[in-house]
Order: sequence, then C-alpha cells, then structure tokens
Amino acid sequence: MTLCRALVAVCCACLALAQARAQYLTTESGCLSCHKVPPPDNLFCRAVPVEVWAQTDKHSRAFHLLHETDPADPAKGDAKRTLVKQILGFDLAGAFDGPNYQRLKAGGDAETTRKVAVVKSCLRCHATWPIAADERYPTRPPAPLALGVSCQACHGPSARWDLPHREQVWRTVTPAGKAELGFTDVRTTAAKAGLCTSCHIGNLAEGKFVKHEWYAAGHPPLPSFELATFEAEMPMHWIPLAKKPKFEFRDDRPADEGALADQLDTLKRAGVPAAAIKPTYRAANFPDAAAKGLDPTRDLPQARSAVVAGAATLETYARLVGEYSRKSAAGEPGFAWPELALYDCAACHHRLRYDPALERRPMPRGVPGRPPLARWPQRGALLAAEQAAGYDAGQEADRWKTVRQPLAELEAAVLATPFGDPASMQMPAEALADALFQLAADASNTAFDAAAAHRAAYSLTDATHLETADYTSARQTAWLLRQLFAHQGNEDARRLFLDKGEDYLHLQLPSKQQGSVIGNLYRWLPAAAAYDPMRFRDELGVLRKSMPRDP
Amino acid sequence: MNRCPPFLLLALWPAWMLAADPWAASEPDPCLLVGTLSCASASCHGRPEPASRPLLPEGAFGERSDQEHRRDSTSPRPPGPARQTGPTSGAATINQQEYLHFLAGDPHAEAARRMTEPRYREVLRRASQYDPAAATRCAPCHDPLGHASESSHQSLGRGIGCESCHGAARDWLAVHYEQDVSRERLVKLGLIDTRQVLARAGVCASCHVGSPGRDVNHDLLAAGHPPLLFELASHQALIERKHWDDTARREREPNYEVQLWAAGQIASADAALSLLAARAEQASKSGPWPEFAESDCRSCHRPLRAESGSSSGLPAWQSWNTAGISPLGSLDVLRHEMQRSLVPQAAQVAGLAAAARTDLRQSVRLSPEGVLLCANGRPLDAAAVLERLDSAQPPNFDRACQELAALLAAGRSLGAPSDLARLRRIAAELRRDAPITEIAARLAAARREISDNLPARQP
Repeated sequence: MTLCRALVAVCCACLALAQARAQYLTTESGCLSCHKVPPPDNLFCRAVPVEVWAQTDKHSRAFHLLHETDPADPAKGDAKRTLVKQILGFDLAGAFDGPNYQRLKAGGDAETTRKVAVVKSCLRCHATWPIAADERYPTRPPAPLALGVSCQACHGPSARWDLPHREQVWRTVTPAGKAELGFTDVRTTAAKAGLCTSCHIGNLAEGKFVKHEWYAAGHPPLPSFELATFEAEMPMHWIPLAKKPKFEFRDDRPADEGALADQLDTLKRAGVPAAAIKPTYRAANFPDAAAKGLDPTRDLPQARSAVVAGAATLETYARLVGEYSRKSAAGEPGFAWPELALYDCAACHHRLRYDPALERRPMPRGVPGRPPLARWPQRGALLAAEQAAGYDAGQEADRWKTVRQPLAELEAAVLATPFGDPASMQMPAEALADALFQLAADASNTAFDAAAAHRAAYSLTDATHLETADYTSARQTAWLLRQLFAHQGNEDARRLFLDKGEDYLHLQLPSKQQGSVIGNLYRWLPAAAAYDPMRFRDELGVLRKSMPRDP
Repeated sequence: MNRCPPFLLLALWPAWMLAADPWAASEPDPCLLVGTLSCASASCHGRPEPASRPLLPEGAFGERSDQEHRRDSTSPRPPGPARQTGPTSGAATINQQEYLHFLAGDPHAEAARRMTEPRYREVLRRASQYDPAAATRCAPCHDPLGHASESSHQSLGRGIGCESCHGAARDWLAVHYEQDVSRERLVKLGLIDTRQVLARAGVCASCHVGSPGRDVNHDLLAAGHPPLLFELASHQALIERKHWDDTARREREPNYEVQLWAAGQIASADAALSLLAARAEQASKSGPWPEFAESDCRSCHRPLRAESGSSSGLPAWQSWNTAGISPLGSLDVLRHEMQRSLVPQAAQVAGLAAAARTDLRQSVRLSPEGVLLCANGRPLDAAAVLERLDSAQPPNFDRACQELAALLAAGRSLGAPSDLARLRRIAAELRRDAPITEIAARLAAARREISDNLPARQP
C-alpha cells in the first residue's frame, strides 16, 4: 500500500514536473523588450537580434501563411485560404472559435473534434503548440498563434527560466540543467539540427509530419534542409560563439563570489540543480574540450553546422522512417502503409522521356523501379564520419561502418519489395538513428578549423564517392560546399555554382519575410526538372582540380 | 443488351459456330511447331521476286526517316494514312511471297537481331543486376522460336517466325494448301485466324500488352525497357510493307480501320486483365506487389509543379488499356479496388480481374464472320465508336491518346485529308505535353466535326 502510494506520488510529481516544464509565458512582449535593447555592458548578447527575428525571419509569419489577408493584396489572402482548404478538406476557420483565429473549438461533435485535431497537427509547425503543451493548453495556444514559430517554440516554454536566464551566471548552467527548467539547448549543433529538422523533415513523437496526401493536395514540398545554409538565410538572430568577444564567465569567474550571491539565489529559487551550475561557460558547455586540446569558441560556425548537422539531419530522417514503420507494422490507426512522403520524391516525380544522354548516366544505387529512401539526407552524414575519424582512412572506415551497416540493412529492407516491409524496416532504421546520434556527438567533439573545412569540401567534390544522380542531393552538396568555403570570404563562396551569374541549381532560398515559398517553387521545381547530373559532376571535377589535396 | 434481343443469341453463339474462336490465341505448343524454313520454301510463301522487281525494296534496310525512331517513346506513334501494299492488285504481288515481304518490311522480323543491340544488352544488364533470371523473361516475346527450340529440343531458328502469330503448324501444315479446305477446319487444327480482327488483336496483345509469362513489369521498365503502349490500328499502319494484302477488304469494309481499333481495345483490356490476375496470384509468392506497371505512368511520373492541383495522391489504374471499351460493372469494381490504396489486396484483385475478364468476353458481340457488332446488331462503325468516346470522363493523357487513335482510324477510312492533318497537329500537342484540358477540348471539337461529316461519307 505504501509502495503504491509512493508510486502514485512519484507519478504525480513527474506529471507536475512535465506540466511545469511545459508552462509558457503567454505574452512574449517580455522577450522583445529585453532582446531589442540589451544592456550595453552585456558582451554575450549585445547585438539587437530580436529585430532581425521580428522583421526578417520567416518563422514569425508561419501562422499568417495559413490565412492572413494582406491589406495591399487581398487576393493573396483568398489564395492562401483556398489552398489551405484544398489541403485540409475544410475551412481553417471552421476549427476556430470566433473569427480571429485565437482559440480552437472545444468539445462539439465528432467532425469538429476531427477538424480541431487536424488543425492542431498543422500548428505543431506553423505556430507554437507542441504536443507536450496540449494538456495545459487544450484550446488556447501556449503562445499567440499570430507570433508563428515564436521565441518559445524553439527556445522552450519560458515561465520557469524567464527570470534566471536574465542573470549572467545562467551561462554557467549546463544544457541539461537548463533543460530542467524547460529551456531548449540551441547551442549544441546536433541538438539545434534536431530541433530545426523536427519540422523541416518531421518528427512523429512531436506530431510533426507532412504526409503525401497533403503534398498531393497542394502543400508545397519541403525542400531539403542544410543547417548552415538555412541559418545564414534566416538570417541569424544570434552571434556565433567565435564572433563573440570574450564575455563574462566564458573562461573565468569574477573574483568577488559574494557579488554573485543574488544571482545564484535566483537560479536556486527557480529550481536549477546546484550540480548543474559550473564555474564557467566553458566548463558547463564543453566539459571534455580542454582535455582533448580543443577550443570550441574558435570553431568556424558554418563548418561545424554543415558537418555535424550532416549526421543529425539523417538521424531525424532515420528516426522518422523507424517510427512510422513501427507504428504502421503495429497497425496504429492513421499510419497506413506505405506512406509515400517517406521515399525519394524524385524517384517517381520525373518526366518520362527518352534521351540518349540518360543511357550514359550512372544508375543511382538501388533497384531500378523500386522507390528508394530519400537520398539527400545521406549527403552530409559521411562528412561527419570523416570528421569524427580525423580523416584517418582506417578509423574512418571503422567509424562509417557503424552507420553503413544499419543503412545498408535499411536500404535492403526498403528495396526487397515495392515500398519495403515496415516490420523489417523498423529495426535497422532505429539502429541507424542511434548510430547517427553517436556519430553527431563524436563529430561535435572535434576541431572545426580551416583545415577541417578544407577536408570536408575536398571530400564533397569527389562525385564518385557519393551520389549526385538527383537534383536534391546535388543542391545539398552545393549548399554544403558554399558553407565550407564561407570562411574564406562569403562573396567568393556565393559565386560557386553560378553559370555566368545564373543560379542554375536554384540555391537561393526564399529568405526574408517577403520571400514566398510558393513563389520559389516556380524557380526551383523547373531547376529540378532540368537538372543534368553529368554537368554537375563535371563542375565538381573542375572545383576539385582547383583545390590542393591537403589543407 | 435489352435494346437488342438478337444479341443475346450472338453473345451465346457457341465457338464452333463462329468462323473461329476469337479468344484462342495462346503461346503455341513448342512440340507442334515445324519452323519457318518449311513455310518459306520457294514454292510456298517464299517465291522469289521476278528479276524486274527488286527483292528488297527501298526502305527495307531501315533507311526510313529518323523521325520514326526519335519519337518520344511514351507517346503513341501517330499512324499515317493507310498505304496500299501493291501498285495494282495486291494479290498479284504478295501471293506466295509473304515471307519475303515479312523479312523486308516487318519490324517483327528484326526481333532476334534487336537482342544483339547495345541498347538491348544495357537494359538486360540493368535488369539482371537484381533479377538473375531477367534474361529468361525476354525470349517469349523477342525470341519465341529460340525459346521453343530449347524446350522442344529441335532447331526452329531464332526470333519471331510465321508460327509465332499463325499458330503451331504441325497439324495443319499438310492440310492448309488443300483446295477448298475450310477455315473452320484449319482453326480446329491449330491455325490462328488472323483475318478475324479480334483473333489478330489477341495475338498482338499477348506480347504488346502482355500475358502470363510475357510480363514487362515495372522492374523491367525501370531498367530501360520501352513502355508498352499498344493500339492495333496505328501499330499496323506503321508496318510499311505488310506481308498480307487487305486492299480488297478495305474496299469492301469501309470500317475496317475502326474495327481494328475496337478489336485492339478489347484485346488490350483482355490481356491486361489476364496479366493482372497472374500478377496478383504471384504476389503472395515471388512477384513484386503492388505492380506499378498496372498504373497510369503519368500519375506518378510527372515533374513536381508549382501550380497546385489537388489530387488524391493515388495512381490511376490501367488508363491506357481500358480506355476504349464499353462500361462494365465488374471492371468498375476492380478499378475501385485497384485505386483504393497504394497496395491493393492481391487475393481479392486476382478474383476481381478474372471476373471482369469473363464479363468483358461475354459483352463482346461478333458476327459469325468475326466482325465486331454494336448493341443494335449492326457492324461496329466509325459513328458508333465516336459516340462511345463521347463520355464525361475527366481528361487524361492515356485516354486522349486512345481517342486520337480512334479518330485517326475513322479518319483513315472515311475522313478528309484535312481531318488527318488536324489530328496530326493534336498528336504534336500531346507529344509536347500540352495541358490535357486543352487537348481534350480540341479532341472533342475534332470528334464532333468528323462525326457530323460521317453520314455523307458512309457508303
């Protein structure tokens, strides 16, 4: 009996903790007021990043995309609502209580419940409404929908960390310690990549997934995702570590510990575990770096994002495939097999034509005629293995083997029959995701200096090493290469893959708030249809010849 | 059916009362084959040409215009106007020279040689990478003689021979040149009566659409095999120098081309249904399932477009091979099952396909001479075909191609040269993938105009 009570108490405590973690500040004006004009003596965040976010970042428009009327162009609002209706099969407004899109309908008949559930699945990515917050916020959103993918959508529900994070000593709290209060770690590259790709690729545990049915009904195709490129295009509302001046608490603490008492007290009252507070920012965030002779504060940010996210991006995809296969094999409703959105779009969606040049083209890996896995997320993962192995051929082979084996098993399972058998795909997909998680962690724990960027770029120019048969993998390669050359001068890097100034691979993203994702489809989809793998391979060859083998 | 009671009788007309069983086409028994050499002797079907006439006429070596070869392999080949085989009386030039004409002007004669071409080898190499038995799948269509030689342990030659289409000859060889021998008797002995349009279409469709054991599935297509897009009237028009003469028949039967088109449609659907039943039965054992070759290629194979068009995301079933047949309830049930999900229930599909095939066969009305009839008992003519096309189906590339082929068949028989020119322009639009709604509108206009002019031209 006592045991039962104890169990119930533990469960309640866990629930309460989860609830507390999922507590949001329902107005975000607090964020804006501080981050707009940070204190002048604050070297850590002295720029004015929030303006960058509020005025140029597309994430803030994510919900408006679904319905808002542009006063200057009312037809645009109608077009949005028509498209959303076409995708959902009903008016978006039909799921909302009242005309202002502020609150979902509560209760009602089965049809209303269904509509509300469908709309909520949109809002997981188009606004700030994670599954974890559903219980506390069943019909009113945790943060105003009008803010779209708001501060708290990425940085976490802020009710518990809002106060402590204003203290400078917050920098010395470990990512795990911050997570106790609901704060999301966005400084660790792999964690950040996981966060972005949860929407940009999908994450079933978080209820984020664009199925083929929605694409067929008109949802724009999610483009491939390359972290460094997308960060640069957001544009960044943060300062990369390497570019921050030596800020307080980075390497040491003020001599006068007594002056910190108030700050530490705030942390303690907020519930930061004492063990999570370290002497310095370095000790909290890079505990092993010093022993390995690494200085992450000097890493090239683009190279780190490009290489580490290579593994993390494929991990998200493998996790998605594994999770969907598991649910489908178990017969969970809503997870019919096959789900076409899991496969390589270009394998089916290409023009049927006869062209003698196609006969000379190398055949992509796999079984002709069987839909394969998406190829582009595999493009960057090998870079992470090479980086983790220090570009030592022997070690690299060992390191890559941990990934290659489940990847080969998964590919074999996918190609054995048309669409593959979910029961035999689940295990290798999950093993692959686990191996990639470890690989991303290992790759993170290395130096991202100019030599590492060079080696990664040199590896990418080897067209025989990895596939360039499809447009999306080629674009991924081109994006990666531009980022790996960025430290030598952004302007030069941006000239890569331009043909007489023409962006023939259409690498330009529809950045800034006025850049339209739908409008951009009119450019990149024709570029994809006209993609010539032989031309791209030639171009990689020219680039390779211009590079020395060693840095 | 109740509109036309006489048809009930025709539908139940026993096979032995017809000139020949129109559904008899099947792979000849290799042990009953005699080989092409026997047919092609100088005193029979290989009589040498008189010295004044060249044995191999111009074009016999394939030096035709390149356009024929460069065509988009997914579009139908537009048929030209029917060529008269002989300058005067065909019988005088072809009789007893069938084999020479076959060698000189029929693409089927090149089937074995095709197998030595680099393109063929490349397709085979790609297909063999994942299916070691791929090579054994080619011979039933590309080299039926070689295939039969192996199983019957006799040397029958290579490629496609006379008996591949006309039936194994051992039992009728010594009879078929007898005076006054009846066709019925020969058919009973194993001759395939290719004069009957439906029997002829069945022979063609067994390879050009497929049949159990002759299966160009999606694995082969993806390895590079050209897609099978069969339409009898236009395929036959492509054989520039035929080894038979139908001049007199064309004069006698103004709807001959339309009959060919309609027979092709029925035989294609029939072959597709038998292939589907076999594929579905294999699904539980070794065959791939779902079989993507069952679907409209363009349902999936189209570049992603920015213009949003709503679709279910599920491919359409057999839009090519079932485009031209009359509505059938059992076919609709099968179509519904095939389009309901990406992975239809194979066991159920096998049964539905077999049932639809039986219904299709029962719905076909033939005269005792093997002429296709409409519901009112009259021979199926251009007007009836054009009327059948006038349905409210949503536009689709495959159906547009078949409709165009029907109009061309009607146009070749009864149309004016301006009709053919107009239809060729629509064919060019189809080839360059013009929006299908525009093409459908132009086809509908052409159909109305040709229909309106038909009564004046019909004899």
